[in-house]
Amino acid sequence: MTKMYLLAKLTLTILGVFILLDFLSYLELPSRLTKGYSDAVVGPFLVTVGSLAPLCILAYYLLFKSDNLARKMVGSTNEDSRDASRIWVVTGFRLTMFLCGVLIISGSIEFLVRVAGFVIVGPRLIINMIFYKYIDTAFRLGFREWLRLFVDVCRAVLGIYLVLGTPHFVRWQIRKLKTCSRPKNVENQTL
Amino acid sequence: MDDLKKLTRIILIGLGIYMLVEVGRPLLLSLPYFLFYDTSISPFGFAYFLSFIFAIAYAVLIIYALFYKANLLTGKIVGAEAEALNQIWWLPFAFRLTAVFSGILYLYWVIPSIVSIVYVRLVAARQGAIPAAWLTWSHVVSYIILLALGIYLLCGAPHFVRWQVRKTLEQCKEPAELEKATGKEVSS
Repeated sequence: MTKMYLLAKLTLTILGVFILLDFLSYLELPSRLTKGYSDAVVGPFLVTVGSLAPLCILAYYLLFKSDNLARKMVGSTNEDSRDASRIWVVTGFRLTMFLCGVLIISGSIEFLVRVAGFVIVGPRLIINMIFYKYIDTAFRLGFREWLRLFVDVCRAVLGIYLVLGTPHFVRWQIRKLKTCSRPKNVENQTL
Repeated sequence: MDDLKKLTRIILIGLGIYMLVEVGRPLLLSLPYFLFYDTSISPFGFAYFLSFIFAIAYAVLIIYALFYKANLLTGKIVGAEAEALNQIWWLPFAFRLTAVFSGILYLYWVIPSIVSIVYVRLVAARQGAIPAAWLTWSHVVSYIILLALGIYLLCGAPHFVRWQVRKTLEQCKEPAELEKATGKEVSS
């Protein structure tokens, strides 16, 4: 694998991460569309699924199936066929994922603070629920709020996983890059 | 090493100019409003204006520091000359540069907000112009955490960079360890 190919893969992976983030942000859309219009549920739901599906497919394609596109981006490898060693690949992926994670997690700090607060008061609320059959208003959430909570959790988990360097994803990428075929005109294979 | 210092300077000055443009654009766009339409600025409007001024001052400070006191920041990011003897000296440099880059961005996001929070809490709320309960505790705590994280990242996040480098090297060593563990040759 050449360094240019690695660069193309990293660029596509960053794009994939941010499109995935966009997809998560737009998950709230159905509840916003149906707010106040309880009769019209099917229409907005179908429109949202129709607009979210391409985002989801694009994110999947860029994160997991972007080899062909990266090869096309690089073009002919005659001019620059410098090989990327394993350390370049691992560092490249970990570094870009770290940067994406730091940027994503900055928007989730308030949510994490609220989670920490809930961990402190949560047990008391749960005990009240069990012994006194009292359900706190904190649990009385509508569909929209539950959906927003789900999106926030996904975003925070994604941010933390990215900051930690996505070890599984990097390992999987290395395994895949090892087995994937190289452009024919490059003789020397390092990875 | 000098090339790396230049690279660091270029990246960080680029970031500084981006911040300046980002904060200057809405200020320029809202200037006619302040000048011609509404002469009495509300407390919220003043807090907003104050945060803009601090954001611009911060961006100018970063650019000034990189133009005139370049060695101060870039030297710390690139690392000591002794480190260059190591074959993988660029590994901590890359992580440190990313950390400082993120730290500058974090502070750029959080400093204006902290300024407006302090103004709203200490000045406007005391005058009764804004209800004291306007800001929730999670809001304030999250900004304090962001500020602390920004300062830590700006300092190069030494512990985190060390941990990332160790983990990266561990991941690079995996085939050799596998070879040792299985006793079979792993084709590379």
